[in-house]
Amino acid sequence: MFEVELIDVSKRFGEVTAVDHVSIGVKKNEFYSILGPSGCGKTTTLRIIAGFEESDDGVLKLGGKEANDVPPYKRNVGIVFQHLALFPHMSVFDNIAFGLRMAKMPMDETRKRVEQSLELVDLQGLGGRRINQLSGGQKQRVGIARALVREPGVILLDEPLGPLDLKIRQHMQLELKRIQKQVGTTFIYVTHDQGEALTMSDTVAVMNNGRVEQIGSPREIYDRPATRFVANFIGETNFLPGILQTDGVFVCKTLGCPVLVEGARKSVGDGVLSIRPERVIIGSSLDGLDNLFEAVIEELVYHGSHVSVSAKIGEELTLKIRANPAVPLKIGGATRVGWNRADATVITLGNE
Amino acid sequence: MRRSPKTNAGLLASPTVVYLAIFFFAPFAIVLLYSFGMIDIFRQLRPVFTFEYYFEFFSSVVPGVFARSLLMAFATTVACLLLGYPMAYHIAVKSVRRKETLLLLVIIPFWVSFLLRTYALMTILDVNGIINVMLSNLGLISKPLSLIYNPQAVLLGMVYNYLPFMILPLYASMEKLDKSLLEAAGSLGAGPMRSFLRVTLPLTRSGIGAGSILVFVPAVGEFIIPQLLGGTESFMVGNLIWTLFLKARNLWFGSAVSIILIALVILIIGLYMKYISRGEEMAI
Amino acid sequence: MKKLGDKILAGYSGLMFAFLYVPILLMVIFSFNDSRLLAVWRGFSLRWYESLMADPTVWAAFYNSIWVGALTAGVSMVLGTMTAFVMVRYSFRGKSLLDSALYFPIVIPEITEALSLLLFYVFTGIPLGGVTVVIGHIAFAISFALIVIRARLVGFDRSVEEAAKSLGANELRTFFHVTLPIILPGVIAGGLLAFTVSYDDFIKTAFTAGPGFQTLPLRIYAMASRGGVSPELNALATVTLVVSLMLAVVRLRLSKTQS
Repeated sequence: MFEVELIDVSKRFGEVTAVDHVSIGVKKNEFYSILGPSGCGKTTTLRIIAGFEESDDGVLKLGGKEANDVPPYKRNVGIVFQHLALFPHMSVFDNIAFGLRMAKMPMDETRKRVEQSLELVDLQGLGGRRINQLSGGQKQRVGIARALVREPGVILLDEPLGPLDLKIRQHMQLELKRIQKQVGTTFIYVTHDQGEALTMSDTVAVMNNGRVEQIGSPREIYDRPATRFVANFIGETNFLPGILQTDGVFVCKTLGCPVLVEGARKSVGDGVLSIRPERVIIGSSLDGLDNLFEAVIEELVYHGSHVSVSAKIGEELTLKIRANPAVPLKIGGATRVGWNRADATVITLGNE
Repeated sequence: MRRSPKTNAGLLASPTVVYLAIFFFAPFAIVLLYSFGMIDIFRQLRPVFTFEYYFEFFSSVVPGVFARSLLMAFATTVACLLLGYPMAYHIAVKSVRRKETLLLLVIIPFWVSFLLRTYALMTILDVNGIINVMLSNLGLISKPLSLIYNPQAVLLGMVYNYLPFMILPLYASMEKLDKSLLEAAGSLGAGPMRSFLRVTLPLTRSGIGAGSILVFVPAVGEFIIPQLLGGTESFMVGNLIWTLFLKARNLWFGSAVSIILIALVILIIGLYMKYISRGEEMAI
Repeated sequence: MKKLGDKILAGYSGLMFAFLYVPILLMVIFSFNDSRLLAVWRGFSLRWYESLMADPTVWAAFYNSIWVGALTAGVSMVLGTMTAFVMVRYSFRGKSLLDSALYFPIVIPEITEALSLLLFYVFTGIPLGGVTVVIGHIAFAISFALIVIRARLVGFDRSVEEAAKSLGANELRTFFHVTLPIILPGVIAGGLLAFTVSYDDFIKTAFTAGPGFQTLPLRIYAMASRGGVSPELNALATVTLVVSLMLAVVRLRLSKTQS
């Protein structure tokens, strides 16, 4: 059973469809990310789960029960807002205690729980501070503590690390992961930063233009993108257009020759082959690769840990490749590139 | 199902709407009824409708009073504009360090009511006021100057009270002025006078318009200043209405006069709104 | 050349500021003059203030000005806040009509409002007195309070309200625990403006007070139009002035706390 479930949920704002028949299932104690560019509908989806927007169609279930008509203050959902929305007229303690006060918890119990919260987010002893006396990172932690203290079934996080500096952001990512594991609550995390989503999540749902393009583990999303959008949005990739035949052979248009691909496919037809720059081997160690081609090096850029190469195969295809700096390459030189069939993914257009 | 937002809005707005309907708009309806003679002296509603009180308006000296009020309001507006424009310009453009303080100094008179400010002028202009007493003590005059109870005193009082109303909108429009435009004009060969006429003045048009309306419209119906500082030749619409209602108890004619005043105000404001929107169209 | 022009302009400005302030300053100064005459300084004295304080009708007028102002402020704050919410957060048919209607009291000449209220009371037979004065003041002051409160509400970040709701507070509790404390400075500023508008009001009060009810402006006018200038009147005017200025300073402080 899912902790949070959206079944075919849609939401329109006038002419614009912000959320388009979205179905999502979040399991208990999962770290679940919704990833996508701005305007893809991820924040609206989150707000529907929170109860700040009503869906036009579809069903929302919280803890297995239908929750479409339940007002936000009756849902057992904690929220960490993008700009935190801390109560400016209250102290840190009062901010965190607010939810417990609303639940009419007795004072000593409240105090104990707030202290525990402060310890959990590493802010012990700062209960008396006013909000405007805190740093960005500290405010983040108060926001998290405030959402957690009521022990809700699920915590929603709306791009909470956006406004932070890089170093603090990286630190907070680890902190969030630690807190989630320690408390054992379901986290639904909305972000446009694919690095964040990949490092922190158990499951990622990629959204674009209101639709869910793919749901899977970070590895699945990265290695086996289901659509061109997912392949392009997460990391970098090369697209080779062509046709997937029923015999499992992919005939690449730009290469003019067949490419071996992995596995039996259910759908055939027009599509693209997605191969990531770091999966293409160039120059050496090419023995035994499934696919091998002659190439000419057009560009070389040194990045310290790797070299990015632009290599031209035939007349029409230029591949972006990430190469080991130890491999001897020079511009204009002829070389060979290749990859194993397992390293590439075919995306048929019918699937998108 | 949750309560619709429209009912929420309705509930929140209704006390104010009801209050204003009863105590602001309904009274004006009653004025209208009185002006058409539909309410009699026994406070009964009559199915009578007459224009006689409006006709009385045209046959009496009242149009002269209106004309004088319009003239005085116009003179006040022009004077405030001429006197206030350089001040606003100085604060907005020239003073850099003290701008906030100067602006505060312009706003402070707003906090003193017209009544008090007019009385302050009285203490200076009156027969027993500061000027007369000082001059006679210095032996410069043998009998007191009549500085008060004449149209000049009224104009002075009007300008004195309404000047801040002109300065603030002017300041606002000058604040938004891009100083580099003036520098550009200068670099293209325009002297200070030409820059002013061709660049500054047109760009502060909205401030001039707003300030003029803020002065002119209330000035037409002004009561306190002509009453305290003016004599019989300074009788304005405000004084007329006061006399009709509180002295002569002529509620019907007074209502007609008031309706005409309101119509005049609405006309002026309507023309002004048209002027602004046309200006915006031209700007596009 | 340019510098000279700037200096002349600055000098002119200074002169105009003097023009604005000198009459008021002289009025205040001469209320402390130990002499009946308004222009010759005889010495510092509080005698005119003492005679004011000994005058029960002055106290009555002062008391009336205060309670009328306080009641006007209270009602205007509540109604103004409710209306501000409607205007800022909801959209509906007829909203712009309501918006214009709310500006009417500010735009219409005060004397026409005054006489309309008088006719209303005459027609409905309500006797004139303190109550009729307050009613008229509130009708006028709501629009002023509304402007101030509305401005405070426009920039309000609603995510704190959503946060409160996510923590279990329903609409009413969210308002009282979160929204109201945050907009309170603006609400109070609106109330102070309403108080000032009522406290300084002359015309509407004159028309609706009837024979037995007096406020400070009414008293000042009565003294000025009958007896002309006098040091007692200077003293009374100064007292009235000081209250107005104090209110304005508090209002200014409150608007500054909006960060």
